[in-house]
Amino acid sequence: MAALRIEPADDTPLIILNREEERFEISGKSMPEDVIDFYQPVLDWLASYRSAPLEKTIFDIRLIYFNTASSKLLLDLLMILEEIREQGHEVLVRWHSMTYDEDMQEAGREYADMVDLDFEYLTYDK
Amino acid sequence: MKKAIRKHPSDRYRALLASRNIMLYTLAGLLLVVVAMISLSWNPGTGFRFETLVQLHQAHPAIFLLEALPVYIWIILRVARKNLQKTERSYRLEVEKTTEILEKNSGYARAVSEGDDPAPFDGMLDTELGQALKLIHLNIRSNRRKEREITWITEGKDMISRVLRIHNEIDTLSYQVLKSLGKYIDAVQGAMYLFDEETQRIRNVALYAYNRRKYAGQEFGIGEGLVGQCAYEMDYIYRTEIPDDYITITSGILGDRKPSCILLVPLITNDQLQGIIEFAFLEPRIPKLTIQFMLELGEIIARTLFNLQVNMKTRMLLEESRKMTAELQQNELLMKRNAEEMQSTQQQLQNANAQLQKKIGEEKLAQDRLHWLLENASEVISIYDKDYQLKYISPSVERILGYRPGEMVTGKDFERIDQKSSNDIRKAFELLIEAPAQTIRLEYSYIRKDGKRIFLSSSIRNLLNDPSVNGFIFNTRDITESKQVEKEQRLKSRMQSLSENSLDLILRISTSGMIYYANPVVEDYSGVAPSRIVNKPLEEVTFNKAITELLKDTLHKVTGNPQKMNREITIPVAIGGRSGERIIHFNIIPEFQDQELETILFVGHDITEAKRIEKEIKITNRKMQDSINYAERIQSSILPSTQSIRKAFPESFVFYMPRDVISGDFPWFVETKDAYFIAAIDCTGHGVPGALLSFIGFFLLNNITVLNAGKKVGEICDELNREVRRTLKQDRKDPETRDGMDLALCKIYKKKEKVEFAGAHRPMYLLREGEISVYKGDRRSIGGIVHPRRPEKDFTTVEVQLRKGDQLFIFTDGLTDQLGGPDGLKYAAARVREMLLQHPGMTMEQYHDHFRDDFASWLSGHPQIDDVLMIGLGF
Repeated sequence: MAALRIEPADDTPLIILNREEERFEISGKSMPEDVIDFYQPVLDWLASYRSAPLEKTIFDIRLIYFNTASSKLLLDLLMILEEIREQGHEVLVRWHSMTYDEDMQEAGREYADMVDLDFEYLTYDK
Repeated sequence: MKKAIRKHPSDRYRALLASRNIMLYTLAGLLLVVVAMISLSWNPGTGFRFETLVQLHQAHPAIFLLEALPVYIWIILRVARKNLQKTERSYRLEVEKTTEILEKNSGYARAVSEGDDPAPFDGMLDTELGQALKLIHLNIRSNRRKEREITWITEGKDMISRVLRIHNEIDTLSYQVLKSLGKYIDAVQGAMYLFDEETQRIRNVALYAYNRRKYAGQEFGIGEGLVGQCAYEMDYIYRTEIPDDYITITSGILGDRKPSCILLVPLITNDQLQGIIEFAFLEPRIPKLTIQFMLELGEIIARTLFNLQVNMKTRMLLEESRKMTAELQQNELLMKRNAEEMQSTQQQLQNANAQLQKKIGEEKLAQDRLHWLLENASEVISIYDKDYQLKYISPSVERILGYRPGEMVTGKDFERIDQKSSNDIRKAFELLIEAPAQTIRLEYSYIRKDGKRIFLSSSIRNLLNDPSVNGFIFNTRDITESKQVEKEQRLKSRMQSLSENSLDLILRISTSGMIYYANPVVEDYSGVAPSRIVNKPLEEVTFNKAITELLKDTLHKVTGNPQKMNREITIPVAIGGRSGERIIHFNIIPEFQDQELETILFVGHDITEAKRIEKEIKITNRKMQDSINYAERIQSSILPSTQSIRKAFPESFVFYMPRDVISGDFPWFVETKDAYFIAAIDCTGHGVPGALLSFIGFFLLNNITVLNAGKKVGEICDELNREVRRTLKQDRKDPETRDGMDLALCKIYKKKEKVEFAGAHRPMYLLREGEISVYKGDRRSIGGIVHPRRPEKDFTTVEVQLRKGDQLFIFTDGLTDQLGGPDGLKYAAARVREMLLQHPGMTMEQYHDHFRDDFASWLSGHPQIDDVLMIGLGF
């Protein structure tokens, strides 16, 4: 399936969804004016990926900031991953946050509470 | 020695007393007596008569005595003789005895003289002669022993000297010396060491009767071990107590026996230590002689070793020098021969060279000509082999592509053209292999070394079968210029057609004011056909007055300062369907030819319509802004006033900074009979949608609080959650919104002894005596869509007893999520806590100003992401 890549903008994150290179990533800031409009292609891509996923999907989320509206869409995204996992494939969410950003770390833990997925928490400095 | 026979008086005496003689004397006496008797008894007349004789005797009895005289003589003689005989016998005995002793002595002496060592016989020492003999014997014996010892030493020395003479290799010599010596002195083991002057080490060079090779080559330093000790003292060491670790002998004969004594002798000559020789013996002790022998021999061996070493060194040096001489001689010979050969070779070379030079001259001329041709050819000729690898490229490449031939033949050639062209070339190769007679022409762009993009045209032929080429031959030309010309022409014609069909008014005027071009639109605005004004000076044409004035004015300005200009003019138009005033925006563009201003292009665009729309938008915007401003007034009217909060909490602040005019965040404050409720609420989104939600939240919370004033804040949050869902219809199957709100809600009883807190994604900070307690709140929001599989937990209520001086802070995430600062990072909750900890004991007003200023400086230049709200309460 064709890869999806959305370059980052001032208020939207970088999206890389590439089955061939086994790269799944959301990084940067997510505060689009219209979240549904922005995330729809992402959710569509994942929905079609769900029908033929890799044996192991490692999804990197490296967000600096996301607004409340984005948070709902992120949950939708994670729920698709959860379905993939329920189909019997391995899924690992790598939740990256800056060392000092406890809110982002907390948000990761909250998502982990909400979906049945393996989370790995990684921190970085700059 | 026989003594001369001489009559001894005793001989005479003996003869006198001989038996016959005694008879004679006795008979003579008797005769004398008879005569005397006859004579006495003789009368001259009577003659002899016997009576007379008797008478006489009677008369004189003494005569009887006289008559017995011969008996007396005989007796006397007999006695004398007896005595004599006795004496003689005793003398004889004496003589015999003496003779015997003499004989014994002489036998002893003979034995001694013959080298025997006879035992002294009985009584020998009784005589002086014997004693003398014994002394002599002792002397002789000691002399002889000395003699034997000397002989032993001498013989030993001789033997070793022989050994020393025979061998002149240190190793063999050492071993042979060791072996011979060992046998000679009855040693069971031996070792020989050499002292190295340079390294100051003593190294084992030979072993005798050692069964283990590992001792071979053993080394000692001065003073190290017995050997080292011996070297240090430069004196022999004789030990009868053997150290336990001394090597035991394991020979077939001796079995595993330890030697009983050892002797180490330094080998010294000229006061220089040459080595050490070591022997071990089974006997409990060894004769002094052996030690003496060894000491004497030590010097001999040392001397030999010294000489040997000197000899060896000399021999080595001699050998070296001999070798060098030989080599030198050989080298010299070789050199001589080489020189001769070289001379003749040089001669030949010179001849050949001269010929070559001549040939080269000719060749070079030809080559230079060819090179010049190839270099200055307008084409690049290149050859690719059957594997499509570049193997030749003509020097003209440098002029045309900028790369030297060496830089080209590196396999990089294909990287400098785009993927499509590279594929085309490969296809061409394949095609040419199938149809070798063809010539293929390709055009493609190429990036020169200087980065300039040029266009190339290559004709490719297959000359794989031509042995002089054996590849694909490319004739490549730079067609950039012709391409450019072509392009320009194409552009020109396209421009022309564009201009012709453009809705814009287009005019081109020379600097002198000659109209070169006018498109048909000109007629629409001026009523004058383009053909009537083209190629006429501006002065002479009758034209739309406003346009003419603009043209004249700007022509003058642009000629003076050739820069792009924009102008807007309003012209009255009354032609066709267009009537009234039109607003035209002119782009005035100076055009250059060879950096010389040649023409000025006027492009007039009718912006009448755009202007109208713009105006409308402005009006709409203003209306919208007005309504938003109005909405803001409404929103602010429902927000709690600072005064009302201050009334309840004199020490308090509200830092409120909406992103837009109206806000999704809002502070909320309600007073009931027993308590104050205060909250910082963050609705999804910001601006208008946020504000709309805020109204829902505001009224729902008001109602719920009033109706449930006695309930815990967690329960109030649960109720709010249900109500928001119900209001936004999120409890239906297909909810349309996911919106909701986060909040931090505090209920403070009027006595202010206790605060109840519930949080939806929002925390409460309590600053007490310089320390912060964080109450996190629940990990969930108010509203939004219910998770399909997870039941929601109720909100938790936290109760905190308050003390005087406590300070409470609640805030929305607009503050902590704000990206800014020097690195564009989040403000972060940690910074909030840091601020509080770094400035404890500030008044609430000071905190307000502090956070306001800090947030502003954090923002500096970054856009505000979200609404910001922070509430502080002091007790």
